[in-house]
Amino acid sequence: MKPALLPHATVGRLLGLIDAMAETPGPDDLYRLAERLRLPLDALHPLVQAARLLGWARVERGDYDLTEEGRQVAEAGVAQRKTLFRKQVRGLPLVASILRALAAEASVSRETVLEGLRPQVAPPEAERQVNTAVDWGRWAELFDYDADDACFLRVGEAGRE
Amino acid sequence: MPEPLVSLVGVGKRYEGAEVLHEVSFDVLPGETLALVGPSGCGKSTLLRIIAGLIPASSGEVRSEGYLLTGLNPATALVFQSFALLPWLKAAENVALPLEARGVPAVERLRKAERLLDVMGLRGHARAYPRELSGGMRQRVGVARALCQDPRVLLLDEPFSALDVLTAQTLRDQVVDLLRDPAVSTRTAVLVTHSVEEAVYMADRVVAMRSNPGRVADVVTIDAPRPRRWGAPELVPFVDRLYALMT
Repeated sequence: MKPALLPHATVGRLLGLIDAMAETPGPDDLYRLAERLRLPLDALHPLVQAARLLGWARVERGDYDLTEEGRQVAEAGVAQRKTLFRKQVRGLPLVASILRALAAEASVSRETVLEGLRPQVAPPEAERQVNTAVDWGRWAELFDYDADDACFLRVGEAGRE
Repeated sequence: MPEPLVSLVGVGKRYEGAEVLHEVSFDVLPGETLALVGPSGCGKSTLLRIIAGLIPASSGEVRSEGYLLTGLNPATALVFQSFALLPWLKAAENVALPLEARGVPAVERLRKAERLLDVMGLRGHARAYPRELSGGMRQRVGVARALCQDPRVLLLDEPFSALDVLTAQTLRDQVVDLLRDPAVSTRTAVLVTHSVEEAVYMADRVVAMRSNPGRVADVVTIDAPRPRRWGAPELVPFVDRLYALMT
């Protein structure tokens, strides 16, 4: 996987992983964590990748360790978690490119974002990348997404129906 | 002793001659989280539906805030294991749905729905369809929909059992927290679960049930301090005691 791409982890499971890591503070074996959570390693992998990408966990030779910021996340309530998540997510290349586009236009179509990914990844992966960006961006409240019109919107400009 | 919010006295239930529940009696006290735990077939989900007024008891009586229950219980709202969201409605519309039936104006019910989605950490997903949400997020919408009705008692029917272990644990903590959150009016919950560990982790008191027919073995007070840690040594004696009661 190219480092610029998003790992396919839902926000809920990622936060669950941080909570689980905090219960057995590292460094500890990833395989032991996987056993305790009864998750196959390949299901754990994208979650661990996400935790690394956000700077919340270090992984070295099959051992994991929460970073200082990861520990803060584990301690925090929903609002504070959201703030910490937003801070990291806004800088990720795909999310940042959507935010740049939204700074210029009030709405950006899914197709435009997919086109931007095309040189990098095959079409099915591009779809998955956009879906993950939608999920993370919504949770971080960085942008909104309208599935009916297949477009990204600025937060708060979604219109009240 | 405070006035119970819900009171069951000698509640029985028969289906086509078969006795499903036998002489069940307990109170739900204001401010507590009460868990009903027992093996499958002990009638715990049936009992929750009797409290909600969705099905009538065959014998005995159910009182809600002192009044004899004869139909739907307006003091309660139910969270389903299967989430039960309408796929053609966005998250905020799903949450607001019960308010529509009560005649609350559209602007007001969407504002309230968004506020409760915010409590569940999902404000950014207000316009998402259920198919765009993970299982954990769908259940958060399910909880927000129940809270939107300002129930005195939140009824939770195996709400975490369709979720994977990571998602479930975070959501358990969120439910424990929201019953103490000033932004939420609900303080009391009844949780049906087959997991003794979950009951001990979340509840103030646990009703241990046995099957054939479903009946109460005992009610155990979990007087361990909060916040609790999953699998903490101080919780183990309660878990052991409950397993002994149920088998």
